[in-house]
Amino acid sequence: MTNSSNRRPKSSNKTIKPKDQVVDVSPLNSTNKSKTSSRIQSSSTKKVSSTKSIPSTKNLSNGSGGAGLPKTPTGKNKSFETYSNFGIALGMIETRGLVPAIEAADAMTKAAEVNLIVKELVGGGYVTVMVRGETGAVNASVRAGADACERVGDGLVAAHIIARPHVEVEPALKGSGAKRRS
Amino acid sequence: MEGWRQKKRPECLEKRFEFQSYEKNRDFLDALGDFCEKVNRFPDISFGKTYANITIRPLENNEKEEISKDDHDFASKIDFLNKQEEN
Repeated sequence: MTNSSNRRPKSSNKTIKPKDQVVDVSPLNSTNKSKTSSRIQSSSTKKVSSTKSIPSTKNLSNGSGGAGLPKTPTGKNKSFETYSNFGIALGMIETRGLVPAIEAADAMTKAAEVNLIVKELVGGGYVTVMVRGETGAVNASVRAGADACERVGDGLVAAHIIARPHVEVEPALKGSGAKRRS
Repeated sequence: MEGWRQKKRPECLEKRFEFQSYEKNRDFLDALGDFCEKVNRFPDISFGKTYANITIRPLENNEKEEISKDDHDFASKIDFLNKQEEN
């Protein structure tokens, strides 16, 4: 019978109770701190935000309003905080075929400070790419993306910009992970 | 303010602009983008090759969240932009 302590990593601290241990799931190259500190978890989750800096000089609270805007201040809204890393506005481009979608995504991210959040294979050859960022940047990037994919085949199907999507929409913006049929 | 439709639930002003070609649509969208940056107000925009739908929602600081005179003025200015691009 082998000693169970052999399974533990050499660096494990026996003085820490199991309930206090937290598994750090942040990328390897982004952490150089102890993996057993419970404080690190909160700080590392903040670092999950986009690497690209969104200009903060512009007023993010644009005057577009929005139908179902959350009544709570954005600072107190946890859900908002979770997704605010990507900026407020949402830009979407739907294309016919994958090539124009990639062309659009490339043009969008090059044109302005936006984050590409998802590429969704809708089915039937339709592909949607979505970006988020500061409202003006999203506006400019979607125009550039539509311009680019319009030139590729019969790429552009539709483009849409939502200046302030409601918090309830946020979960729907995650990619479904759909893959092409083989 | 021709062609704008005021909707309820959610309160908004909507208009569909039709164009003969993508280039003309793009020129209008560019002018609209510049104008929005200038006044720091951004409507929802949906567009394809030859059309653009603009949706103006009430201002965030408007407590009643109703379409106000400001929103109508904003819509009028967008109309003016379109006419400028046509000429």
